[in-house]
Amino acid sequence: MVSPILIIAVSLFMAFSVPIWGMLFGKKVEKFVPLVTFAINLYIAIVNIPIALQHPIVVITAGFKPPFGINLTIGPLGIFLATLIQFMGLLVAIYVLSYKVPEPSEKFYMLLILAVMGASGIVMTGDIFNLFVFLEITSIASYSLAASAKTGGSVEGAFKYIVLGSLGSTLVLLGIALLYAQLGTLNMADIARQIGKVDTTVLVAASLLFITGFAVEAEAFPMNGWVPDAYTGAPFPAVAIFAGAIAKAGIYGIARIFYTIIGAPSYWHLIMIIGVLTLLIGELSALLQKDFKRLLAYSSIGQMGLVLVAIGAGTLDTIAGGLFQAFNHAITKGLLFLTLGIVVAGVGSSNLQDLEGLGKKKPYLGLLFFIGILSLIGMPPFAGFWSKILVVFSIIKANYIVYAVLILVGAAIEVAYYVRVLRTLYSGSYRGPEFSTSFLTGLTVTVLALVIIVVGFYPKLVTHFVYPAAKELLGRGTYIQAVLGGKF
Amino acid sequence: MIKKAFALLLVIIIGIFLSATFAKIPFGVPKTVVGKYYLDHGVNDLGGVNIVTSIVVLYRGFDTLGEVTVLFLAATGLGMVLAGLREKDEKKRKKTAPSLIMRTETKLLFPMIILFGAYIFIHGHLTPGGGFPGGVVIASAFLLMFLSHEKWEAKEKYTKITEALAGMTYVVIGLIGLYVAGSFLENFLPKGVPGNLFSAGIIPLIYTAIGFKVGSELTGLLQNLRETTE
Repeated sequence: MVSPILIIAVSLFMAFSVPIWGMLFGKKVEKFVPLVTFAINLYIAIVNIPIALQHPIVVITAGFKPPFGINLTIGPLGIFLATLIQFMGLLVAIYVLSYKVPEPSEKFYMLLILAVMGASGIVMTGDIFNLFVFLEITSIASYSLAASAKTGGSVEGAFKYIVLGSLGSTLVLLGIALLYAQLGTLNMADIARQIGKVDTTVLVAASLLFITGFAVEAEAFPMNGWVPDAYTGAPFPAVAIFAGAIAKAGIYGIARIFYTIIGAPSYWHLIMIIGVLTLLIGELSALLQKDFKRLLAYSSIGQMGLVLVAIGAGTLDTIAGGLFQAFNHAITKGLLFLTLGIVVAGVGSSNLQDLEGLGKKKPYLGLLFFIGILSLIGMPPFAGFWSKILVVFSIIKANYIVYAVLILVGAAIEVAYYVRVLRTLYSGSYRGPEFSTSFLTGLTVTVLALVIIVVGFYPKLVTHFVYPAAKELLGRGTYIQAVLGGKF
Repeated sequence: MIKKAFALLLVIIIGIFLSATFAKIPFGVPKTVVGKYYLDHGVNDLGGVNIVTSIVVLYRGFDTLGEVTVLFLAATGLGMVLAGLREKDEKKRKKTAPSLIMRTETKLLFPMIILFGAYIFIHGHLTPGGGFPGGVVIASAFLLMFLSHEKWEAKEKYTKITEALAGMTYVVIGLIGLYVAGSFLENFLPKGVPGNLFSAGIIPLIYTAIGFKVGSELTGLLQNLRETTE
């Protein structure tokens, strides 16, 4: 067995060593470091999948058993998200091999590795303060990635992200302090076991602090003001990491804290309300956008809202649907942003007006946009169809008819603006400059499109993971027992 | 105006809510389970007499590795954002040249401050301090040199290499723990006699790595900031 803690150790070692490789073998070698790192990590994650699906993997550090030392607890949910995050990281690492990253490039590669490492750390750790440390790592890396393009818009987006992100982290830290003051332990399973002892006022305060804090990374209303600007300003590979890795870690934080640690259904409804507001505001704002990148950013907010509604509904099917939707969001938004990155490198603008007729001029890139958009709006036979149908039907089955209607309203708005995008891509004639697609960037987006199609035909590939993950969230006894032993 | 009043109202409500919450938490009651365990077993478990250090480096060593990374990210992020700004910033500030006294004095002080920083991180398991403060002291020696000698610089190449090697050393120590003792960052050296310089297992090793890392990181950061204002 390969210990999953190696994902963290390898990422750190490689991130620290980037300048050494550059100095030993020349600057050209540096760009292969993220690729090697994510390939090793993905391998570690994949060999641990069967073990984690059987029983949560508990990895101790420094030789101390929980609750005295820090431990990682990786169940089906953790391994599913960690694999997804490393997979997105690997694809982005292939993409940046032939994409012009901002200078100094070595720093960009370090930040890329550490942002992904932070997100994987969040989904694997079993200690709530350690969760905060990884949250800090992933957010500080993302601030710098957001600012790395060094244009006015990029710095503005990064600044908004820094203000909201540090506010969010502080609130999470305050919430952790409240729980620690009451229980004297930081181990998540130990807190979950004793959560009944916490005073109600304190628990309400801590819950509100946690949900507001993690809402920043999960792109949830009202903490998502940074998303449109930071997404628009950041370089495309970084945006793919935001959508594919960091938003997933935010969702995980909310799910883990509200299901495993607090475990009280009365709070779950709050997640649904926040989710539905996020969904509608995101989709409505996307409707007005004239810039494709900005439109995708708002659409990303809408999608994360849908994930939150589904996760908050609190039945096995809705949570599984929400996680499936989160998976699709990562893959599809990754595809759209990275394809748009290829286009913008050639056209020099992501304004929809300038992309007129692009689908006819570049049929293959047009096809990739077509696949991504159809999957996003939930058309068969693409992956998005299954997650959307699972979410809507399971929410109706859970008796949340109003929410189901609101989700369908959101979906209708989504169809409206994406059809407009498709019409722009395939009407008129392309007037922009000539450009060609490099092999590696083309390969990356092709892989993502293939994932969408394959999952569309075999949704079992994903449901095989999301159902055990949903079961893990609902069965907190198993989680506590796996870490602390004994009967719960 | 209305916006400001609304914001003020919100802050007041949150403030009242939070203070009501914190009022529920008893102050100064020694009841934390984990904390008590550390105090009772710390010296026996690890052989370090500075219990704070033992908690920081071993019991919660994984967090400390994370904190080192956070500092690393802050420095890297700043380097990322500032790179390229120097050429754009054409306005040069006027400055008065450092006096002879300052130039002579700092040259004498420089090695001593570095020695003091090294002392702090080497004795982290015995006395207050450790890798982070030790590293900051070392960086302050470089800051003094930057202030007093205009042409003097810490070459980016060297700070970068030191930083990388120190960080890699920390991870490798953790990995040796994983393969020799059984878990990541676990102590694999003899604990020694508590109170001696050679005691507390891997704590001095880790703190030395952190001291080098923090020192070179902050020096690099100061160098970055200095270049943009000159």
